[in-house]
Amino acid sequence: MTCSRLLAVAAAALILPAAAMAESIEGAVDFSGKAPTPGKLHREADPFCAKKPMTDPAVLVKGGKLQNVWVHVTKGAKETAKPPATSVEMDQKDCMYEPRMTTAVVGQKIQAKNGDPVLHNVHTYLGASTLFNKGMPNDKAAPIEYTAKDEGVIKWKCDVHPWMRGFIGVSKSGLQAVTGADGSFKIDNVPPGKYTVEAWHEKYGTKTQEVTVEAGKPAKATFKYDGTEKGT
Amino acid sequence: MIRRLAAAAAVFTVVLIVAGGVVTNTDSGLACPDWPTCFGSAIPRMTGNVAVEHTHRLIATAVGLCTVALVVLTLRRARQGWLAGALAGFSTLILAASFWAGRVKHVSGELPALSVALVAAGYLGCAWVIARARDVDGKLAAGALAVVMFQGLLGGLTVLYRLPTLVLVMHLGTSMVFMALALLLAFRLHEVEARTAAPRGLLWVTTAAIYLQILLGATVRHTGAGLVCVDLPYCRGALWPAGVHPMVHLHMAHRAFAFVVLALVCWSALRIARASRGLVRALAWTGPALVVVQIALGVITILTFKDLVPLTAHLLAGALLLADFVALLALTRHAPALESSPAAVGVAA
Repeated sequence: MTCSRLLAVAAAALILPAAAMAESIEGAVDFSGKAPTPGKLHREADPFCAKKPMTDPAVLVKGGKLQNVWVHVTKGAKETAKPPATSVEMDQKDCMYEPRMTTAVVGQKIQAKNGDPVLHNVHTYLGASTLFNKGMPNDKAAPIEYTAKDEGVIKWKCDVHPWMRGFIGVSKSGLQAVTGADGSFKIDNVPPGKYTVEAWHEKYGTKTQEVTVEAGKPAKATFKYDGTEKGT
Repeated sequence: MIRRLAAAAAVFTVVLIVAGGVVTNTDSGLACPDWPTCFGSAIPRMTGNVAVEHTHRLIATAVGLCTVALVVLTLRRARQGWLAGALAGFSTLILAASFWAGRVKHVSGELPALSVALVAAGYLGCAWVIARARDVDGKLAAGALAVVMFQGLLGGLTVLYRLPTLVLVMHLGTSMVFMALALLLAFRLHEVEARTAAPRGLLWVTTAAIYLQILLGATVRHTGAGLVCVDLPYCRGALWPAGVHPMVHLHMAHRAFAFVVLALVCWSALRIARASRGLVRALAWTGPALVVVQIALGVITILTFKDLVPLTAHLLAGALLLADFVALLALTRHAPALESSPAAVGVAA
């Protein structure tokens, strides 16, 4: 074996395991303040929506953990994720967006559906700009397809039913997750390195943390909200 | 100079109203969580919703400064410069107390009672200044300053109390009052004798109807009733559906009242245009054209599911219609003969 071959083998031995040893960032989002009691949504103006009383799902806290927080890497990711072939679905069911918060990768297709027999208009914003605003007359309406172009939070609104809100966090790296009912999250396939990780909640805004991922062990991150934050 | 400044304030106010519409229509009202600063800064990073909200605040500041200059010039012209000084003191008290209140409310969630008392005291002082002003211009200018500060306070309350409907409606209503005051000031220098005779009773009723319709529209907008009826010209298959939620009635009231406004505006325009010429005649004919455009914009707003452009243009056309009739009020004089009989119009002409 020549010297150059030896060097190549040694390099491969170093690089390949590093890629294979991609780790995760996992943790939870704590909520230490007094969780607001979800208020009743006033849906009486539409007879169909009025049939099913609902409460405001903007702040969901269980056991001191906050649900529906978008946790994502904002700095440190070296690669752009290849958009998955599957579409991200945002359904409108019982006059609510389902899911409330989800994620997509830049370049990935997003599909809006209407599972209700009534008209909804899907009005999406990225910041102050409207991405699209289209009506879906009923559950027979063809899905609306949109390809995520930029990073950020896409806000979903129905102007016919102003209480309806949904959010899709879009990132380039795909290093992201949404906290579940227990407030936990796990971002998979994170190569070792130093990252800035941001948590975003629709009512309480953002929190950031520096996280170092080392080979062979998952990195931990805990975000804390106390309910006094006034982010948007 | 005073006239030009007042005209500039009125034009800036129309721009401000449009900017406010963009704030509401892009959901940017809470992009800055604090008031009067934005994220603790006078010049925050101007991106996205923050740029929209803070631009609105900056235009409002320009309108406020314009009004301050207007008050100073008007009172100095009446040789009451000392009164301008007193008004500056009361205004400073109002602004300082409200900025302090805004800071405390943002940090602690509580509104200090002392700040409310200080603001009230400041407004009593403003009322005293208005009463002491010698001429109507001075009273109008001082009144405009009090109104524009009140408008600022309402803007602060919308942020600090997370967009309460009543305050939002009052915020728009007050902006229209300020615009009307600035216009009245701008047109006041016209010679009374040179003004056209007009049925001012009818003009007042029409102007009040336009203002009421603007308030109705603001209530529809801020209660989320804008699309409770999405079929046109009917609502849920009926001309006026029965047994529905009050929001549907509110929406229908806004639609129906548009035709009352149309009738009043057309009637006023016909009567004034036949007895006038020049600017007044042009303003009279502008009214019906604006109402027709306004109704069309209302329809387009529904058909496009409240798209930003028609929705904001709907607000602009409403403001321009009110401005049109305020200008007519300022440029005409009372004519008893015209009030009593429409047939007298020909005689007056």
